[in-house]
Amino acid sequence: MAILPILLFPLLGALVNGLFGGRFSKRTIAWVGVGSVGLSLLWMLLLGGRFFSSPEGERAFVETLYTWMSIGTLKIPFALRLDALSMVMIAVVTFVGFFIHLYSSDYMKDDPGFGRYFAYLNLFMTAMLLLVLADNFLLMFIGWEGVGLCSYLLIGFWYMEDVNANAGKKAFLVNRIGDLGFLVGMFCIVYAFGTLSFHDVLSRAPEVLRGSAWLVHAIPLLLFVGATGKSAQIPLYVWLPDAMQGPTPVSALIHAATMVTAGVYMVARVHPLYLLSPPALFVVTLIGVLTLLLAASIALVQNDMKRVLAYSTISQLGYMFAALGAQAFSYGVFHVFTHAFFKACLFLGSGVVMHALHGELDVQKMGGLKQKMPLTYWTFLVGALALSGIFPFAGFFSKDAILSALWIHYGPIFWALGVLGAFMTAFYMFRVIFLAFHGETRLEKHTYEHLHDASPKMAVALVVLALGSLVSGFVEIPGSESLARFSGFLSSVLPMPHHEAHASPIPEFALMAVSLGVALFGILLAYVFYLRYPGLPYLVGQMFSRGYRLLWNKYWVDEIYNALVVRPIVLLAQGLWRVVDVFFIDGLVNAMAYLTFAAGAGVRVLQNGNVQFYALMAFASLAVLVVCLTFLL
Amino acid sequence: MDFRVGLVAVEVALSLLALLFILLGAWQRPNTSPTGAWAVAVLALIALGGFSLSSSGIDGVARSFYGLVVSDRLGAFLGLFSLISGLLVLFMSPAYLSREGIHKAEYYGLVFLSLVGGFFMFKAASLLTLFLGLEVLSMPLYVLCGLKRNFGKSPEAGLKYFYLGAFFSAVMLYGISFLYGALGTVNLEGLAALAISSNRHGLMCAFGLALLLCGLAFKAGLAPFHAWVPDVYEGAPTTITAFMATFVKVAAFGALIRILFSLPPDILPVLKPFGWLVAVLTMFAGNLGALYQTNIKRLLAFSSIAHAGYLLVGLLSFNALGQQGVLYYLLAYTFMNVGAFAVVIAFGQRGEENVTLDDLRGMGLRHPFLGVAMALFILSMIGIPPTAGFVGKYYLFAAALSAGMPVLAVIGVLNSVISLGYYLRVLVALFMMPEARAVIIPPKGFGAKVAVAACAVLVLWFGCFVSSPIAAFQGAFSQSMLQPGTIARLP
Repeated sequence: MAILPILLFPLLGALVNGLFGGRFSKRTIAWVGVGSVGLSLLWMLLLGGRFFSSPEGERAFVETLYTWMSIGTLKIPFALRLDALSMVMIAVVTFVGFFIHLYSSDYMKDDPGFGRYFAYLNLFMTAMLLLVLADNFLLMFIGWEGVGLCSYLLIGFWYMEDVNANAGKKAFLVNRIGDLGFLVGMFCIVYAFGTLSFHDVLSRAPEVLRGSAWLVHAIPLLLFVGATGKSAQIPLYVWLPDAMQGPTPVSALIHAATMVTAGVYMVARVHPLYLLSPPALFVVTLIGVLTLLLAASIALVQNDMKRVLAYSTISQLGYMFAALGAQAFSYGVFHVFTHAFFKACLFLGSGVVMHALHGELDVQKMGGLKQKMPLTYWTFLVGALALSGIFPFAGFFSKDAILSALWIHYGPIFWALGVLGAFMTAFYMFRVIFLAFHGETRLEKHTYEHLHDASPKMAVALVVLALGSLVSGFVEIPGSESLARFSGFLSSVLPMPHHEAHASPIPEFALMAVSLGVALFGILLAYVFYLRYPGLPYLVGQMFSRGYRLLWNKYWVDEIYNALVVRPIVLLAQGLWRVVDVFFIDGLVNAMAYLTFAAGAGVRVLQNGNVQFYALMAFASLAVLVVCLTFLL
Repeated sequence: MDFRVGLVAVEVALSLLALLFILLGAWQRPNTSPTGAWAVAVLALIALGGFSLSSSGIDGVARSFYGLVVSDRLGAFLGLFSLISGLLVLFMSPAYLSREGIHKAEYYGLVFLSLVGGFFMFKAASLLTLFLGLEVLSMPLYVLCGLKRNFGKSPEAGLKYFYLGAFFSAVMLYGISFLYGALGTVNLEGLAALAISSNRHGLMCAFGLALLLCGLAFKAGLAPFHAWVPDVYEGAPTTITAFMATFVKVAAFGALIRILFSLPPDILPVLKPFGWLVAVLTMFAGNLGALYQTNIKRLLAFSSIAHAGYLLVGLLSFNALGQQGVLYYLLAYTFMNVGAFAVVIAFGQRGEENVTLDDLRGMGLRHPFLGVAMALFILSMIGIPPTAGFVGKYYLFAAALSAGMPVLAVIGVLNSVISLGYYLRVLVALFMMPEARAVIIPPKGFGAKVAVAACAVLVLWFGCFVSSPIAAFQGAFSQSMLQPGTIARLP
C-alpha cells in the first residue's frame, strides 16, 4: 500500500484552498481543509492496519518514488520510510491534526483569511508528514524547513499588526540558526559517509565514525543544534513564547503537539549516532534539564494563559530531551505521544476561553469561569492533571518513565531536578486553573453573564483530546516488561530503555511515589496560594521581589540576546551598508556606469553623419590594418 | 565541370522572379498595390525555402556553373536563413509600404535580386563569384535604401551606403587582383597555396588578403568599418533595415566563413590577433554607441553592430562549438531582429516612422501582444534564457573559452552587461512609463503581426529545443567544402 497519499491529500487541500479559496464559500473551504486531513487520518488507519497485520520482523516499508538528484556518487532518492517510529508520529500528527482542523473550522469562521488559514494549515500537515516519513536527511530537511515556513506564516497570520509579523520573523530567524547547525551536520554526514540515507548512515555509523576523533561528536552535536532551534531548547527557545501571537489552534497543533517535537523525533531517528558519543548524550540531557527548569520557573509567574502554556511546552520538551540523553529514546517519543494530547487539549481550551472573553488572556482578570464553561473547565482540568503527572492520567506514565531513566542513567541529582520541574509544573498549571476557573469572578458583570461555552465542533475536539489525555498513558506502564507495550512496539527501531531497572522494581515504585507526591504538593500549594489565601502571592512576591522580578522578566534573556547578539549585528550591518555598500560598492558601480556612458558619448562624436568623414575614418583604419598585416609579419 | 542547373535552381528561380516583378512594376497603375506580386513572392519564397530545407540534408560537395558555385550543407543552411529572413520581411512589407506610399512591384524584384547576390556570396567557389555576388546583393539594396524618396533621410541613406559600398567594392576587387597576381587563380581552393612571408610573393598575398577581408568586414558591419550602419539603418525603409540587418549579415558572414576556412592553417595564428582586435572594437562600438540612442531604429542598428562582434568571437574560435554557435546565432538573430523591427513597424506611423523611446512609452500595456513580443526579442538579444539568443550567445562564448580565448569571452560578457543599459530602457519605456502620445493610432498591419508572432514563437522554440538544430549545424561544417582534404577530392 502506497505511503505517499497520506501527504498528497493535505497538499491537494492546500493547493485547492490556496488557489481558489478566495472564490469558495467558507463552508467549502472548511470541507476541503478538514476533509483532506480526514482522508490522511483514514489513510493512516489503513496503513496502521497493514502495519500491524504484517509479521513483526518486517515492519519497515521503504517506498522509493524516484531519484530526486544524483550528483557524482551521491544519490538522493525521493523515498518514504514507514517503520514503528514514523508510524507513531504519523498517528499523532494526523489524529491530533484532524481534531485541531475540525476545531479551527469553528474557531476561525469569522476570519476573512479563512481560505489562506486552511491552505497554510494543510501545507503544514504535508510538510510535517514528509518530515517524519522521509527516508534520508535531505528529504527530512525539506519537511523540516517546510514546517518552519508554515510556522512563520501562521504566527504572522494576522500580519497587519506589527507585533505578530515580528513574532513570525523572530521564530523564522531563530530557527535559521538551528537549521544552520542541522545543515552543517548534514554536510559532515555526506563528508563522512558519502550518503544521506538513514539506513546506510545509521548501519555504517560505528565503523565509519569510530576512527574519527571529532566527527563522532561533531555530527550529533550539530544535529542537536538544529533540534534546539526547532524544539525550542536553550539557547534557541526564545521564539516559542512569542509564537503564541498566532491563532490558538496553530499554537495547539504546531507549537505544542507536533512541529516542536520534530527535534525529538530527529534525535530518536538518528540515535545510533548519539550512542557513539557519550558527551553528546550528556549535552542533550543537560540542555533538556536546564531548559525544563528555566521554562517551568518562568511559567510560575506569567499571567497570560497561552504564555504559561508556551513555557510549559518548552519545559515538557526539555523532559523529552532529558530522556533522549539518558538513552531512553522510546520514553522521549512516549512523552511526545502523550504530550500531544494534553497540550493540544489545554491550548484548545484556552482558545475557547479567549473566544468567550474576546481576546482576554490575563488569568488575573478571570475567575469563576467554571460555572459558565463547564465543558471547557473539565477538559482543561483533565489536561492539567495529565500535564502535572497525576495518576492515572497520561502524563503520569510518560513523565515518570523519564524521571526513572534519569535516575538510572545520571543518578539522583538529575532526577531531583526533574522532580523539581514536576513540582513547578503542577503549581503553575493549577495556579492557572484556580485563578481562571475558580473563585469569584473578576470580570465585568456584563461580560460574565454573556460567557458561552465551546461550540459543538470545538467541544468534540476538546472531549476527544481530553479522553486521549486520560487513556494514552496506559500503553506503557513502567517497571513491567509485559506492560511496556509502547517501547515494545518501538523496539524494532529504538532500543528498549534501561534493562537494569527490572532487577530492582522497588526503587522504581518509590520514585513514582515521590514524584506523584511532589506533584500533589504543588497542586495543594497552588490551592493555598490562589484560592485559600489570595493575598499570599503578593506577600511572597514582595518578600522575594528580586527573584520575582527575575522570573517575571523571563531572566531578561530576550534583553540579553538583544544587547549581545542583535544590536551588534544590526550595527555591523548598518556599518557595512553605509560604508561598504553605499560608498564603495555603489560608488564603484556608479563610476563604472558613468565611465561607460562617457565612452558612449565618445563613440557618438565619431558618428557625425558626414559621409566624407566616414570614408576618411574607414580609409585610415584600412590603411592601418593593411599596413600592420603586411609589414608586421 | 559543367552547368548542372539543378544545383543552382534556387538562384535561377529567384533571378527569373526578380525580372518578372521588375517587369510587373512597369505596368502597375498609380495608387494601386501589387498584391498579386506580393502573393507570388511569398509563395515562391515558401516553396524555395521548402526546397532548401529538403536539400539541407545533402551529403558531400558538388559544383556547378562551370565550377564557380559550390553546393554543400553550409550553403544550403545559409540559403535557408536568407529565405526565412526574406519571407519574414515580405510579411511585414505590404502594410508598411502602403503606409509610406512606396508599394511598388519592383520592390519585390529588388529584394529577390539582392537575395540572389547573397546566395552567390556564400556559395562561391571562386573569388570572382563572391565579388559578383556582393555586387548583385549591394546594388538593389542601394536602391531599396533610398526608396522613400520624399523622406529626407532615406535617399541620404541610399547615397551614403552607395558611396562607401562602392569604395569598399573597389578595395575588395583590388585585393582580389593582388591575390590573383600572387596565386595565379581566383578559385577558393587556390587560397590554400597562400603563404605570407617577407618576400614579394608573400607581401602580395598579405596585401591582397587584407584588402579582401576588410571589404567583407565592411559588408558585415564590423568595426572600424561600421560607421555607415546607424545612418543607413535609420534612413532606410524599416522593412529594408530588417532585411539588411539579418540577410546581409548572413551573406557577409557566409562569405567570411568561406574565405577563412579556405586559408592554409598556418596563416590563422597570424590573422587571429587582428580578428580579436576587430571583434573587441566591434562589440564596444556597437554597445557603447547604442547607449545614447533614443531612436529605436538607430538603437537596433548599433545593437546589430554589437551582434556582429559576438558572431566574430565564435568565428575566431575555429572549433566545432564556434561553428555551431555562429550558425545558431545567425538563425536566432534573424528571428529576434526581424521580430523587433516588425514591432517597430507596427507601432510606427506614416511620416514619423522613426519611433523613439518616448513614443513607445506605455505601449507595452496598451498593446500587450506587441509589448510582450518585443520584450521577448529584447530579452533574446540580451541573451536571457529560455530564448534562442541565450543559446546562441552561450555557444559563441563557450567556443571562445574552449579555444583558449578567455579574455575575449570575458569582454563579450562584459559587453552583454553594457548592452543591458540600452535594451532595458526599451522595456522600461514599454511597460513602466505612462503613455506619452496624445493621439494613439492603433497598430495596423496584419502581416507584421504574423511576422511578430512567428518570430516570437521561433525565438522561444529555438531557446528550448536546442539539440537537433545543433546536431544539424554540426553536419553543416563537416559536410562542406570547408573540411580539410575535401577540396582535393572534388570532381
